[in-house]
Amino acid sequence: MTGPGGGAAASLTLPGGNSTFSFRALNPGLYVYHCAMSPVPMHIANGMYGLILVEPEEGLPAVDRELYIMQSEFYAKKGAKGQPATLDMEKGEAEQPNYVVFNGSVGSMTGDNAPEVKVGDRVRVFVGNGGPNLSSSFHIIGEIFDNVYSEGGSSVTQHNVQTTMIPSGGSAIVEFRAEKAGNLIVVDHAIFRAFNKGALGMIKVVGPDNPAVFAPIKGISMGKH
Amino acid sequence: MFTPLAFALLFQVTVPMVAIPGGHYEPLYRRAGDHSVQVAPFRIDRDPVTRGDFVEFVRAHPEWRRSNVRGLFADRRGYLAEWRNDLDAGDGDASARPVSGVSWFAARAFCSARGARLPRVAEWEYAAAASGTKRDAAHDAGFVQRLVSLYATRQSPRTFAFAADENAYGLRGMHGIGWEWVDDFNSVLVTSDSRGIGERDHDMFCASAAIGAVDPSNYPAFLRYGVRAGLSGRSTLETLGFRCAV
Repeated sequence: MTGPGGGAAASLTLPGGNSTFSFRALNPGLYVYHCAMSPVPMHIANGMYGLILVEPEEGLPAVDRELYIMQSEFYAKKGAKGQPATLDMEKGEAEQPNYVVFNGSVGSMTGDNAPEVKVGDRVRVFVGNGGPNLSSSFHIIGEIFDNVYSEGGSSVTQHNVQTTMIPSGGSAIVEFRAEKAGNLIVVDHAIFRAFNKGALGMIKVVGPDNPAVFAPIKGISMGKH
Repeated sequence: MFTPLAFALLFQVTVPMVAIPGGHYEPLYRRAGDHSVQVAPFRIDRDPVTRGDFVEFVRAHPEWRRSNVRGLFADRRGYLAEWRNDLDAGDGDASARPVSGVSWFAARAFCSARGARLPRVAEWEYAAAASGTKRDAAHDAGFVQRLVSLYATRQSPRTFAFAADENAYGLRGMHGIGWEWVDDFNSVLVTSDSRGIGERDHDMFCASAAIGAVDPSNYPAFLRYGVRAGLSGRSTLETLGFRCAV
């Protein structure tokens, strides 16, 4: 929201209450929102954030599929038996999360939860990074982004991008055509986060194979010399 | 039915108070050049006020019963909302549980009827800075972490039965139950509209909250100040009770 404090005072709401305010969406783009309740790092670390898309007046160009992915990290201190984990202050201040995830939990977009697109689909992904601390090296294994609206702004700033940087409290819009059937793997390419901390997702591309794009060449064997 | 005098005497007999020696308290927020706040010796209830105590209060003061209370003085949607009726606080051990869902006006009237008052924010924070073993544990990382975890998992007063959660002064349930009213809860000013011109008008929010803060790692204190900033005198929360001081 435009204005001092981003509307913080107007949105201060205690449990059971509600607040109403109006604002004008002056700037088209993809924006991270979060509550402004003190202490904010704790609220963001516990999942109080999301993305809001302000479309340009004429709308965004048509695509076949639109997906939403939001990265964030958790600083979890294990609770006593039967108690949930809570925020670990030491890990938070040291910026050393034990989980880095997409859409709020490990496995939120793998296996049966993986979104599905068809071969030939033009796919637009709205990607946000709630943080609270880490920037994301956002990458989809098996795709090159045809278009990137870097930092979630209103125009395509770059073509043919492998990995795009998404700051904490920032966003990006990426577009690609799903050329080949199979699973695309979504990662934060700060790759320990994907391998060990959960920053791993999947997009299933279904439809006829497309060997013109990629095919293993039979008869040539590597590594047995 | 108690006369106000008998009522006050009754409470002085049945509610143990703890004497807190004077000292210095560093408020979470202070302006440049401000020093720590001197806290004079005071006495404060050992335990939060219970539903049973509050039943006796509304018996003697019908204007504070749920069906009578004026909307100006309490948000009637939440005021004693868990109770069965005006004088029945619920099943079994309900009367032993801390009362919640009371407005600042009602809490103030209760303490006043006892010849007491609500603690001030500096007094409450000063007394609440004690861990189980240390009187001033505000900068003790272990204590702070314990409160962060406790606030996230503590029981609602609806189900709470007193635990042996006693701090170094002998006060119980300062952190383990819910929030507590203080007399000057709105002394950290936050304007209701973020377009005010005061330089401190959004102190409580986002990263600007940390600008004036003495100890930016004290998240539990930020939470308490944040909740207080969101209250008005008629607010009622299921997680908000009180205790009295003199």
